[in-house]
Amino acid sequence: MYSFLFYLILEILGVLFLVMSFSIIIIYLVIMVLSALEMRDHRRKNRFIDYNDIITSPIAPGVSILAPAYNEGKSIVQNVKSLLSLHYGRTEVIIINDGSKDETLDRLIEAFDLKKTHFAFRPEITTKSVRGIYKSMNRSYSKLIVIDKENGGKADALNAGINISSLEILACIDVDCILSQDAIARMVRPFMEETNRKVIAVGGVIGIANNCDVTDGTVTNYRIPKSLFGRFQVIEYFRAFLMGRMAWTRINGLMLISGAFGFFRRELVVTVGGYFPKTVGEDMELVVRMRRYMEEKKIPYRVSFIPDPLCWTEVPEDEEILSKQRNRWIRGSIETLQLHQKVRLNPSYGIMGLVSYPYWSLFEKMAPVLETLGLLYTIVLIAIGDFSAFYFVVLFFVMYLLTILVSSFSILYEQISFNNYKDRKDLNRLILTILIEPFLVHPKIVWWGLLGHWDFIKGKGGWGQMIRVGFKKSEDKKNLESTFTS
Amino acid sequence: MKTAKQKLLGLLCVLMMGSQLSLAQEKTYFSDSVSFFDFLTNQEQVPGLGFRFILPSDAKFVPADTLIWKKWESGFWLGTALDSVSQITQFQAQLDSSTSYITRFEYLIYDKAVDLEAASEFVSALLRSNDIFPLEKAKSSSQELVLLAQDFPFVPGFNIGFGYFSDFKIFMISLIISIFILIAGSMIFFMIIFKSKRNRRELLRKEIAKSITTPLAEILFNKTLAEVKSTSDEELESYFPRQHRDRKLYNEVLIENIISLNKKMKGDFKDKLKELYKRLGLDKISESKVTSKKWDTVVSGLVQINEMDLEQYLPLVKRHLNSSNFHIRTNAAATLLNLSQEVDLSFLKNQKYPLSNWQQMNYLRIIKYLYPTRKLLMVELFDSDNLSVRLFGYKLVRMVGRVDLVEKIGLIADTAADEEKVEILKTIDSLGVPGYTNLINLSMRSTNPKLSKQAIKVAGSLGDKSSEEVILELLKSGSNFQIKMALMEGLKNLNLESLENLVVTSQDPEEKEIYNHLTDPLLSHV
Repeated sequence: MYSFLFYLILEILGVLFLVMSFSIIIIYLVIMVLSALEMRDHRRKNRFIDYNDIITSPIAPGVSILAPAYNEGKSIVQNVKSLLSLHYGRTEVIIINDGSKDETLDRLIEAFDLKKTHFAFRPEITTKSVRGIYKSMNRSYSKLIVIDKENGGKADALNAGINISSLEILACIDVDCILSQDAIARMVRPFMEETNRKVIAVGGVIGIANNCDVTDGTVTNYRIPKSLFGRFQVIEYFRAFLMGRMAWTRINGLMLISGAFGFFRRELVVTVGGYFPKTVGEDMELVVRMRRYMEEKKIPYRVSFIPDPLCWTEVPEDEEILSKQRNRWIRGSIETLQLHQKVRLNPSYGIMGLVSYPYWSLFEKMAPVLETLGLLYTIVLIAIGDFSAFYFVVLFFVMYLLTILVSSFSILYEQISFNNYKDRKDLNRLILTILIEPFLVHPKIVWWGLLGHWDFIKGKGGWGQMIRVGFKKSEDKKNLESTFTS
Repeated sequence: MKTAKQKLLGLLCVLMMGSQLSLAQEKTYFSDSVSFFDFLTNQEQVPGLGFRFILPSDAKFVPADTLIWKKWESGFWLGTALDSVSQITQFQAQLDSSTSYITRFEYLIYDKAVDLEAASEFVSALLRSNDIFPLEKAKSSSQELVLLAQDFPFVPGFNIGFGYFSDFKIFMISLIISIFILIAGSMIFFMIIFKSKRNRRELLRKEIAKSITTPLAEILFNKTLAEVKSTSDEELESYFPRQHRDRKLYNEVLIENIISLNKKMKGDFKDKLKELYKRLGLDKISESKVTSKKWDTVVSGLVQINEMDLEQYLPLVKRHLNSSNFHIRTNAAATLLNLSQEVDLSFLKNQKYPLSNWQQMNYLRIIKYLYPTRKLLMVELFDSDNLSVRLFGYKLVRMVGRVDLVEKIGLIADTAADEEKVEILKTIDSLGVPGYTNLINLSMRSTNPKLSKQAIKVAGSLGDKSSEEVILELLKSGSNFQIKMALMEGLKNLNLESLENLVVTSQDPEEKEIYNHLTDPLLSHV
């Protein structure tokens, strides 16, 4: 009897893994097609657009650039100068010093001739205490506002910036990101093009700046990073930004806009209560909450994405830092999905409820767990002598081929769309990385993902009970205490 | 949803395993009891299968035989269990010699009595699951082989010939792999072809651009407009050979270069380029593009008509004004505005789709450029059923400085929606037209915070004593922080002294805080 059950479970698991594997194949093929169509349309649209008009037009919306800084003393002055030099008419640059322990604030005060002001405001979003708001005495820096506040994390710092901001669009960026001069003009375009559907947020591509030449705040010469982890991330970013997010944009199912470079409609961000500081995935959580709000209010909307290379950042090449980052990412996904479990397979939430959420749950959140289970399953089969070498080899071959094909496609995709990496040697190295990545890097990524799951179970970082319960409505974040105590 | 998922899983399970199982269950090894017993004889023993003889209840034995025979509850005598065919034969022989009773015989599966059919099915199942294998007969002649073959049930030929496909799992895997490799491979192949084609195309473009630079420069700098007009076809062909002009790419590059030069040049040069454009028949290409089914080709044609001032194609352009494609209708409208004798915006009045900020920005740029030299007809915008068009109309009044229209929009404001009032107030404020105190004061009391804040702002610059009173009254009534700040700012602009008096006598710390903010010189230009 037990033996029968055991074999039945094995058989069912076998079928499930088979179905999963083929689902992945089909999903990736669909992603490839959808992203290609979206990229084609984007390139066609771009042929007829002159971005110079936006920079000076009185009709273009104002943009508040929010950049939280924590212990950025070494580079903060250069970074802020770079932000102040962006080509766009109506902007304000808000730097939020999130209780840095180094000389970040002093350097800013010195470099920009800052003075504490009597800035009066009542926070629309609750944050840690603001110690002071600084403005420059030099009129050349009149766009600059510096907030000094107690440390509360990135989300809290952004919320403080949102409270002070006064313009229609919020550009939330990492202060160390390098932005192209026309980045704002290009990112603002979808907001300006909206007609029947409100554009609530626009995401952008993050390029990898490791080993590249940067001149006047723009990457002038692209070179791939020297380390394997660096090169792996180049391919991973191609896959994620040029393929994944483009495909999701095509069906208006985008649930994640990178925290390093995202544009949001301020009014809506305030309405839903700003960033949720108790999750490590605050960027994804905000987008999901904004989308939920629009769905719950039945307002037609769109989350847009611009694939042009406009923002670059240094990615971690050190294994320890990378592992922490991946651990954080997976926990962020779990927490966000947990907070918004009401969306799961709920037709009231449209594409997000029926497609995006299940996809994220199964293929992003659960990926490390399922992959590990698959491995254990194979070991069990070997142990009981019921292992089919044929199926294993075939499935392994298919999956390996899939990885190579998808990655190659993403490189080719980049080459056709932007052609940034021109050196043939760089391309060869990227191709080599594609071939070895599944053996040398991917197992580590899976392992770090598993650790992320474990850390979530232990309750690390998150807001335990609250995240488990989740938001009943998108606006619940505004009344956190009452929501979860009632 | 769960049921659907279960159904799906069930279906997949059936797809993966069902077919194989059902095929297997239909396979019968023994056609009758003779073939079954023959098999057993050859096999000698089958694990789990036993045999037993039964004698009637009145049978008599010598005492020693009672060790072999046991009396059963039903009265019958049951023989000891046998597990091989040779034992059966031996037992039968003994029985035949010692008794005259009629014996019965039965099969046992794990000591449980069953009939022939069950025993036969049991052995068949063992054969199917490969738990036992038929033993080869010791002797075999060609005749026996034929007989042996008859023992095996008929199996359709395709099961052997297409054995690969009979394994459903392998078939499915192979199918999906093939489809996957085919699609992914084709996509990559297509992209590689596309990339190499594009690279070749880019090289060719460069070559074409190089080859047309000299003739273009010659025509532009060495010929007058009249000479360009009178240039013979032969001469034109010497500059731009016919065989090249039959090529699509050549024409494309030619169009791009002429348009690019047209943008940079002025006066006579522009006229020469336009003349040349027509003489080379490039306007016909632009015309054909506008009638294309591809939206980007249509837009490209519209841009060319716009850039080269091809007024004769305006009727074609007008067809696209209400296109469902955003880019087509945007460019059609821009082209119409640019090429018409007067800047007539009446076409926007019946615009079905909301006017985006992007479109407004484009139209505003063109209008601002043309307005000093051409008549601007925009009154009809205020009567549009489309809210976004009306809002654009109010914006336009302030952006082109049409003070003469303020009175008209001031009248509209009385019955307009809050969103329109905000825009009208902005226009009145921007143009500094006095006489709208009533509208301002009423709007300040609005419950719509956007309208209220805008009116307070305008009151600061255009309000009067009555506005000041409204502001003070609203401040006393206790507003939220944002409105309070706007009110105090408005009061500061209207009458600083009044604000100072208010703060001196106020017990509200918020008002003092706001006052400090408003009087902070560093924050005056936020």
